[in-house]
Amino acid sequence: MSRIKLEGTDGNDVEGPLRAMEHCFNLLNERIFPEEMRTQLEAPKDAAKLIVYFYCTSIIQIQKIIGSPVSIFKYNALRDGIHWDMFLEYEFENPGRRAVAFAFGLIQHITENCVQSCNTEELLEYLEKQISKQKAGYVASTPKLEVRSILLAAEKRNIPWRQLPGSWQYYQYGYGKYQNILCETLIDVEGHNAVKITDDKALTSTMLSEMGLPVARFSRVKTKEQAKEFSNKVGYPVVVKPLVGMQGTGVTPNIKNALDLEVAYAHASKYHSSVLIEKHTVGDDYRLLVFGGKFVGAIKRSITIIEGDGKRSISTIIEEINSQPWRNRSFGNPKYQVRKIPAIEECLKLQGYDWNSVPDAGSKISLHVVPNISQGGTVETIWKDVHPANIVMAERAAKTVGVKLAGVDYITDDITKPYWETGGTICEVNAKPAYDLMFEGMDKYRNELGKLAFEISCPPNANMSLPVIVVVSKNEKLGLEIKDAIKKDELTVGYFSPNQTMIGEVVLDRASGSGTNVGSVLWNSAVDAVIIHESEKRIQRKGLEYNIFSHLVIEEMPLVNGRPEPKILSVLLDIVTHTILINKDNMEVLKWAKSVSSNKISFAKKENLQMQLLKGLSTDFPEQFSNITKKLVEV
Amino acid sequence: MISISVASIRPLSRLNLISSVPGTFCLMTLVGERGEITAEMMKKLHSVLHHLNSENIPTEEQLVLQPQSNNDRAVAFYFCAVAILIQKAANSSVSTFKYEENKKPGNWEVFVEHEHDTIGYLAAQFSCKLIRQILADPSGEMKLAELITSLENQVAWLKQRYAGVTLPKEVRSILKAAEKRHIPWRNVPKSSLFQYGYGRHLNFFRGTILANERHSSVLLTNDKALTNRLLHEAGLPIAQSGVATTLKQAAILAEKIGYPVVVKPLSGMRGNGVTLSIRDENGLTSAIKKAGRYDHSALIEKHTEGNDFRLTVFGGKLVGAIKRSVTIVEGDGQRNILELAEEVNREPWRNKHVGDTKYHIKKISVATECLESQGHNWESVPVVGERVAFNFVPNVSEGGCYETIWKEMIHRENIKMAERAAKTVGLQVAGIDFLTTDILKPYWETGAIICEVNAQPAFELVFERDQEYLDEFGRIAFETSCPPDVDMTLPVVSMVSDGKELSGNIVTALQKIGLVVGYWSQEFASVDDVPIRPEGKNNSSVSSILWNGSVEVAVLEVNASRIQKKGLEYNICSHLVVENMPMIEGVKAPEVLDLLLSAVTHKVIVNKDNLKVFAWANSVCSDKISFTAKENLETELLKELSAGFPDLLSNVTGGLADT
Repeated sequence: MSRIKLEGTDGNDVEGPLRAMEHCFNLLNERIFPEEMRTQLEAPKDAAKLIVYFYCTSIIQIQKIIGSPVSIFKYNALRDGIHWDMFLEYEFENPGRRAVAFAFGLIQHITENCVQSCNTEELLEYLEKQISKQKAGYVASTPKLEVRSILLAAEKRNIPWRQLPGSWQYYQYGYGKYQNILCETLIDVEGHNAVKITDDKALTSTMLSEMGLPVARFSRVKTKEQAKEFSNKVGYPVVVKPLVGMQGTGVTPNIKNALDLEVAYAHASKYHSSVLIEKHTVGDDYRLLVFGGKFVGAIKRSITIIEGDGKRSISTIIEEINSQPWRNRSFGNPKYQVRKIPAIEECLKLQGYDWNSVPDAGSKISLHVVPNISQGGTVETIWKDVHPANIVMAERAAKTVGVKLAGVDYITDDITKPYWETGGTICEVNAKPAYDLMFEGMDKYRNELGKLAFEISCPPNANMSLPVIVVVSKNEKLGLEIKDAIKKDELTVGYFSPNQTMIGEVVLDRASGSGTNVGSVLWNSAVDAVIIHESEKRIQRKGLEYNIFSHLVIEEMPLVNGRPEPKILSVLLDIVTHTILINKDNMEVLKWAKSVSSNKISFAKKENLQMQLLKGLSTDFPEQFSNITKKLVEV
Repeated sequence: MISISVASIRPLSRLNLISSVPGTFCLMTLVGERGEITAEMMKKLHSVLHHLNSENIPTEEQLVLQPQSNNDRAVAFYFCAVAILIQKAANSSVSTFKYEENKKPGNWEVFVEHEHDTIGYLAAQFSCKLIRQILADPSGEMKLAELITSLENQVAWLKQRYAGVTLPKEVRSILKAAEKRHIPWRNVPKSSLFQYGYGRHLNFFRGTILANERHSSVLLTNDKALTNRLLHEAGLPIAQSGVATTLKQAAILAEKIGYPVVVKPLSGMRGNGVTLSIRDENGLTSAIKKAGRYDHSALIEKHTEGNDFRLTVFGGKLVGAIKRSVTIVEGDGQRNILELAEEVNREPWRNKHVGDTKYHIKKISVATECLESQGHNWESVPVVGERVAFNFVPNVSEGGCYETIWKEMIHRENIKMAERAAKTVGLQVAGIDFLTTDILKPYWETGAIICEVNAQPAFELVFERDQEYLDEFGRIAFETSCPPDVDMTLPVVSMVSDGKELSGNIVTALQKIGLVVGYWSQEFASVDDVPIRPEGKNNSSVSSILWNGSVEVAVLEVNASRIQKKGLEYNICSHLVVENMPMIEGVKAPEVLDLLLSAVTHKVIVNKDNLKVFAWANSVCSDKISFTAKENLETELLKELSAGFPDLLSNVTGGLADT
């Protein structure tokens, strides 16, 4: 939600800016893909309205460009005719806010530079710069595709999730005591010790080898003399890697002689004081994905090799490669693009080329020495043909190291043959594997993987439903009575109302900023049950801030600005999972309840609301609440 | 010329044919003329031993040096004694040794207990060297003093090595808990990682980070700002804080929060880079620099007055607490700071174990810095009544002080708060750092704060480093990862038989019902029929099968010669099948069966048609033994397995009925 104030829109100098804004509208539209997502122009006539219209559309359009599939916007003038209230859909809050900032900046830019005439080139340049910034911000603060597939699986099971406040990599799912924390694709059940093993290549290789799994002969060295000694012992070619490192940094494969070894050693030792020397395994690089001990898919990664045609420069050929669909699935994120990084430049130089060279027809040029995709490599999905023995091998490797979601890197020249026939070796086991490129990056497969991953963390039959009771009433009496009825020594109840937040008996100090939003109760790991006394004001200002709850008790009709607002009840009706209790002594509420059709509704007299609710709780959540009705009867 | 030579030095596991403890085995041979062993040599040997005994070892651990009947025997005795004593001097608690002349006179089979293979090996090597030195000096010219000096050097060096391989107390207490429940454990070779539970029950732990400690939680606690946000959201008390990446940001934050402030590197441990009680921008600048050595982001927090408590939470429950403080000495106008520190270092709790200086005040850089900031150095003499501190932060492993705080001394709400803090970040084992002026009052009354949440807390100090409490701790810690009602037993069948037919049939029957079978024999080992060493020669040990997370049932062929050489390489197995008598170099070896019997938890199935086996079985009194005819061994075993492991193996005998 946003509110702006328009100044000076009744003069004649509004023409220029308006033309500029229309121009921006078109420019932004051009950058929206796919074309069906582009915003249709439905411009109002009134100048002031038009400005606000373009303001809103620019916010929506920039979000579409960076990848948020949004479209809804509304705007309304306030009585004074100067202030306007707007509603602008967002996918995630952070990019949404930044989109608003973008629009504001754009208008300012236009009113400063485009009053009389508009330099379209400059405008374009400005927009491009802003678009890159917004894209970068989006990628940095929103969940990666793999994470989304896991969160989607949670959503499908009606399990609430959120991003941890102020964090870009941590996510939480499950209310109250059911909460679990993920760190991107590092699901919560991933043990710390297992992950630490994967960080240490030497330890991993030792453990795999002990279990009879194929690893290359290796040695951990601290000096280049030791490196030479070992290389002579096992024989060239060898591979040099820093002991700890990711994404192929510092790695040099296929070293054929002592001279190259020295260079490679110097390079690797920049990243870690210990260096691994390994016998080079001939073959292609495969990533076998193992989830919960079962093989789920494989891709082959290779160095990108381009072929010259005597006409196009290397730069141009690369641009074409960069348009491959699988390289463009993470909106605006260039991570799978071939970028002009120093390592690639070095590699070209060694082959006698640079970015601008035009290679002869038929000549083949490698773009790197390592096949890592994040450094511009190429990916190919292996649909079948992985030999069963290699599948078992990968599953064993994951089990040996103990990671639940594992990416097993395996080098072989023929994946259709068992490892003992080809001399293939396991190069690494990775925790927190990226899998957005599995199955050619297609959504449905990725979502399937996300579902598997989520089920390892949260088994399908796990009870994740927290009792959350929402009470709609003018005062807190009913809510507090319910709280007193259900609290016990072993049961901690979280209570949230416009006036106070409590966790068990402890009252949170709102003045210090803690407990000021309903999340502090819902996402609190100590609570076994939550009671929310709903205030229309809060809903109007911030929206509901939760997507799901179990029981609804409506004592009175909520009011907005003094007028009854049944829309709030409809919103709540949509997301309640168990029952709705209606106070049949209140005419307005009764009328509303009869007008909607829902089999969750039941009616009770005002003085029986509490009893009815407690009965419902003891049926729906027998373990926690089996004795509460007894308590009441005793009283 | 007389000398000794030592050959075949090798480690024997705990279950071996010579002793009931693990140790180093070797063959010691006296080379040359017996008559050349002079009385001087014997005297020197005796003096060296006496020195070792009395100077380095506490009285109750000392060896009684008995006189020996002849010189031959004496040399063997001294060889063992030196090897044992030097280990004791290095703080290893060992005592058993054996020596026996074998068939060739002058050839001694020697066994010396060890705690660690490396230490045992080094002790044996050293003993050999020492005795050679003495025997090589017939005239006795070599001075005793020289020998003693080199001995002392050796002791010091071995102490260091021992300290390097020995396990921290907390880890030992966790392992002890596993052992009490007959759950096997081992140290993964060449690492600080430990495994417990055979086959599919496999779990890891490292230090006090247990198997089910979530990595995401450990990562989270490394980010102090995020941890603070989560605690705050949950209504738990934290200091007002903010993150700064530049000095300017830090200054703005400090103004906003209000001096005095605290600066900490955003991720870091043990008080590294932390500056407390900063009162102005100058102090802030140097504090930021200091923190910058550990992380480019710093956390600026409001300084809270109070005492520093470490509340340890296991599996969601508070198990203990200590109060930590900076060590302060009071000057007497005469002694310098180093001397005052040495007096502190003699406090009994700082010296629970000989040679253990972990909790001593040491001349480390932070201590020196602290002294300098008070205008002192190690040599200065503080005046009467002057108080000098040794650190800025109350870190006990850097010389600080601590005091045990019992649960009754903590307000109930503070206990609940600590438990909730651990739950909020999701740690199984957590150390909550809590600052308050009065731990008997609830945190909201004293303005107390949670200063940090730590994964992998050391808990040795809690309960006064008392062994019993430490063991209790270890048990609770182990149970958070391995609950008491969980059955961690893997079906492991040891087979003593001539050919491979019996075991082959058993493996086939088990595979038929879909189990992943790990099979090991001296010649060949496999998991689910996939060989461990496809290229040919099997150089694997049973570890490849037992410590293999994929294995659901293990079948191990017993190789008597191997057991003689190395000891039994596992401590526990569920079933034993004895088809015939094991032989070592053509001689029957019932002691191998005795050894295996001590490792069996469930049943021993004995072939009553083999006379030797039958005789052995009758001679031992064990209710685990059951007798069967040779042709029924397989069926009987499978029946016993299903009885012992009903969930896993209920279909085994059913399968047989089909055939």
